[in-house]
Amino acid sequence: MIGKSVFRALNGRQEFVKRCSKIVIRASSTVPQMSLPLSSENSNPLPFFRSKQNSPSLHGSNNSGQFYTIDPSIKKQLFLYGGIPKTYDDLCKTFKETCMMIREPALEIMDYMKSTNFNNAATRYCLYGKIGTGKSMTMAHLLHYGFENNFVIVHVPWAPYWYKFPKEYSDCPTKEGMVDLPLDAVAWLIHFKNQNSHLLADPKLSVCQDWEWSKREITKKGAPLAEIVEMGINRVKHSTNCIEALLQELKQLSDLKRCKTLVVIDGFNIFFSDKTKIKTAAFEKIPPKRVTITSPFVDITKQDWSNGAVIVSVDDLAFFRKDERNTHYPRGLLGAEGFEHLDPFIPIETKNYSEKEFHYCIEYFLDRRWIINPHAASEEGRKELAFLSNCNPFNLLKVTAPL
Amino acid sequence: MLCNSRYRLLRIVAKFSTDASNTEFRVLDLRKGSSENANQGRGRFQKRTEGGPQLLPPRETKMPIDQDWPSVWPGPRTFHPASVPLPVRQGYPAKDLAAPPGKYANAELMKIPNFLHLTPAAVQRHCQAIKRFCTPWPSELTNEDACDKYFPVQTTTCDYLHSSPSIRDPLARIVTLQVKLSSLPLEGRARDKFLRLVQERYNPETDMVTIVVDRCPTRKQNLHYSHFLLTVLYHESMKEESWESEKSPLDNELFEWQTSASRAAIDGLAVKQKLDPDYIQLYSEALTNLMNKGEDQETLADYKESALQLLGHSRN
Repeated sequence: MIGKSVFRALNGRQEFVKRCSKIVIRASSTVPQMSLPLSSENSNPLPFFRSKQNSPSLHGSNNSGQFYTIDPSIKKQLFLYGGIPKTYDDLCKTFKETCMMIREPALEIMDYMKSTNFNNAATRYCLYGKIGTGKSMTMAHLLHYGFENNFVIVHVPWAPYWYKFPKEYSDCPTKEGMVDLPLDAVAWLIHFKNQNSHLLADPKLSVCQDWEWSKREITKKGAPLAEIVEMGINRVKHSTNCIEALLQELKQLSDLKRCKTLVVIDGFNIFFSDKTKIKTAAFEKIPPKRVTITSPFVDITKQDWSNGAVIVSVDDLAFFRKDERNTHYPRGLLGAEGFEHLDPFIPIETKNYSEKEFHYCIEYFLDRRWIINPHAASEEGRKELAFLSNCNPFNLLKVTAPL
Repeated sequence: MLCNSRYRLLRIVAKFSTDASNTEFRVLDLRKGSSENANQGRGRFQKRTEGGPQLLPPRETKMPIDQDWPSVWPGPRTFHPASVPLPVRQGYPAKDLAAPPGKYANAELMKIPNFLHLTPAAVQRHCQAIKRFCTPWPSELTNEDACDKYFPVQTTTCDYLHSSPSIRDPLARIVTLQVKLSSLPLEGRARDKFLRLVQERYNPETDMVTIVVDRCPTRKQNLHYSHFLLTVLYHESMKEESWESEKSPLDNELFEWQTSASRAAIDGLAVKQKLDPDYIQLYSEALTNLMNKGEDQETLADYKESALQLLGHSRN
């Protein structure tokens, strides 16, 4: 099976992560062993920093700052091939549970989505904010919300991976001057299939037009959408064409109200940058717009379809180190071309922890024994941690790691 | 101050005339150590009186407060401490905590120019003397704005003085011409062209165009050239060339809503869904502000508000 190499590439990472988390647990064996009580096992009333609601659709501002637990089966379906940032995923393995903080940006977007008129064009939401403030985590939360509300999910966990660490690239046979990323396309299709397996079985999701892959391979109108996905996974040569067909179909199906689509792309600004690590057969370095996999995802973020939503994030980390633009604002990161493409959109900012969120986070870390040092739990210790990390979620994680 | 030997000689001369025990022939004895002189003059090993012979007190101590200063100091003169009734100090003290050196025997005070001949009283007298040769100040020029209105072009030149055989200085030929852009009747395309021609010579904060000319050898020639430049700039800006229509949106200095891709996107959207024209207007203003002023919390927040309103989103 051609998919095997891709599976290994994806699962290899999982293996490495598993081994790392085992080492972490072994290291803590010098500390007096205490079993971490999981929130699900706890029959007592939940502590204040945890939320009873594990369903994102029911989250509201009264849950702001609280941690809610994601069911392992849902996590496996949604985030098996990416979605939760690596560092946080390791943390979840250490804590033996996947908990996420309910924060304001996610609540805001969910509010808008609940009250959207889905007859109108799909709104674009752009998450921006300083590094480590929770853009990817917000997207994970919204993915869960979309999953619960039966959206067809089109999710790109981190777009720059395709351009910075492509698995394999080759000149496109059909389009001149373009370069294909066949294995990455197959990997994405597998990811899509995994996330939407429960919806692909729906008979309403059937193809709206004929798609011809080659002289002998045709997907006829009325065939289930899953057929295009399978075609792409099995025939590596046509994988990018299948992605194009799939996303176009989803746009049409959403317009026809046969499904609703949620597009979630992390690191969207890479699509409008100048550089990649990908080269043509003649060793010429090319920009993302000459890579075939770019255009379907740029196309689906246009506002020419309805009955869905598009959530993208812009991050300075998406660029190569030398090309960093040292800004976290959307216009600066997207550039003129990107901004014109996305305009009009709703910019949503992710910020550092507020006082309440910081307090809840520390309590959670204490509960999970991430922070063992007793001084850290004290009033003064918390002030020190707040100062050292500047209440930045990612920095707080790093600063509390040795404690 | 008289030197000692001369003084002694005078005293001896004086002694000749006043001594009562004079015989017909008096013996002139000029020798230092002789007995006659020993009584009157000082002995070889006698101490000198401190501070030398008695001097008159300095003039400044006797100056009345209401004196006519321009008469005391009528023209430019090197500083003379005894004539200036001011306790002036100048220079660095020898020791850290001491006061700066006083005015007597102060070379620094003497080196620098002083304007004691140009006190307000002296200047007033000069003005009074010259006044009969002057015409009255124009009545229309009541304030700065009126001056700008009637005399919009300011020309600046610099004169240099040398105390050397030649009075020439090559820098004296430099002419600076300054004019406010608002006084020139330029609008829209013409103004944009003018600013592109003039580039960094325009200061947007003061709205001044400054042209510095030094390419000709004489000042008069530079002056004429600067006038020529101003004329040419104005007329060239007013002319519209055929290639000016090739200006693309990328060349625009500021974001213009009317010709922007964003407007086209909104128009495309308005075809499919209902968009309130008021909200479109607000959105265009917020977007223009964002693009022209730059991104920051405020402009982005405004943009977000207007986009939410336009696309019909609200929070419960």
